[in-house]
Amino acid sequence: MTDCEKISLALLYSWLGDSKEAQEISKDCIESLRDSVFEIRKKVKDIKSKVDEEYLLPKALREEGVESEDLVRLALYELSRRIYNFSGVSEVEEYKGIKYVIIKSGYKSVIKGFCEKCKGYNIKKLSNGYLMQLEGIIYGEILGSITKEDVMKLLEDLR
Amino acid sequence: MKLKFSSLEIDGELLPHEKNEIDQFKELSTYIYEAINEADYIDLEIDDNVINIFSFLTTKLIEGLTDNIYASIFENKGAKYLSGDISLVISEALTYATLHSLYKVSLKNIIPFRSVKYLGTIVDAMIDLNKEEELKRRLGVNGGFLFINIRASMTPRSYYIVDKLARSLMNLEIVRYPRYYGLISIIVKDNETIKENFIFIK
Repeated sequence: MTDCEKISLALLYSWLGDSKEAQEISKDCIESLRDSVFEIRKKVKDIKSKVDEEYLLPKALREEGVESEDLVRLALYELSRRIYNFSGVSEVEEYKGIKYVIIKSGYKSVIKGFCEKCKGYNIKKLSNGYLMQLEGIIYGEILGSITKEDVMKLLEDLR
Repeated sequence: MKLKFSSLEIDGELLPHEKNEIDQFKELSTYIYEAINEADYIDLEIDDNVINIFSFLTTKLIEGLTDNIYASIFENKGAKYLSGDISLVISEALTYATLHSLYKVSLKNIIPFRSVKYLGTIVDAMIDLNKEEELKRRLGVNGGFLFINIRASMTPRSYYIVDKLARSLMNLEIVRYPRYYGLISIIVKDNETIKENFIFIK
């Protein structure tokens, strides 16, 4: 499962819109699991058709050698496949190691970002919105529009 | 936002797994439901902004999470229906935010599996306990995985919650049994507050 440890990062990048990074991580995960997943899937299907009652399924699975880890592998594979297939073509801006994107939705601008080195919790309140950072994940909503330069200034304070 | 929180623990051995046992998930759920109703609730306050940031882990793409929470709680819905999609997203975000504020769970350590739940062998989310000291202490264990199932209702009915609890327990057992740990998070609207229950299965 070592190649899938970064799966939460892939989720983060896909939330942010950095499809390239998200696809790279999820591809590694898919490839590391591909061989084992088909066997697990087949086993689960067979066992499911054998048991008469649903409450007997957990024990039946374990007895046939399908462990919790195997089921997690199956889910990780499926999740990475979804991330890989559904990542769009969008790209993100970068400023001093912070990846960010500004989404303009008419009356409001949403800022999403990710900074690998940031830690803890930090919030910057403005008269027309806020920008916050939690464990490196950046999110902010600002009424009206905002320029790239202003966002960069705000990001500087969040570090 | 303010909510009422309570938690309880049940022994995984209580749940039937063997052929010589009877399917008693429904009965067990009724007991759990009674225990939840009589439990002592503590007041918990979670930063609205923290709830907002957890929207990156939720299954559906819904903006303005906190606005939706307040709209659901205070019933300014008029003749409209409360959307199931919204209560799903609210419950996910609140569960993760509670785990973060009570047990200092890192948001990068939660893997949400709800979008692949159609596999039938996985639950809503998973946490690797080896990285979470505070949560390990709460559970009194040395490591392993914590599997999470999340249920919510904004118009709670007793029979409905008992039903959902039984299903959640069964879902959880498929992946949890016998070595790991489980958590069912139940979020219901109670007058003008939200009640949150964590049921740990060890």
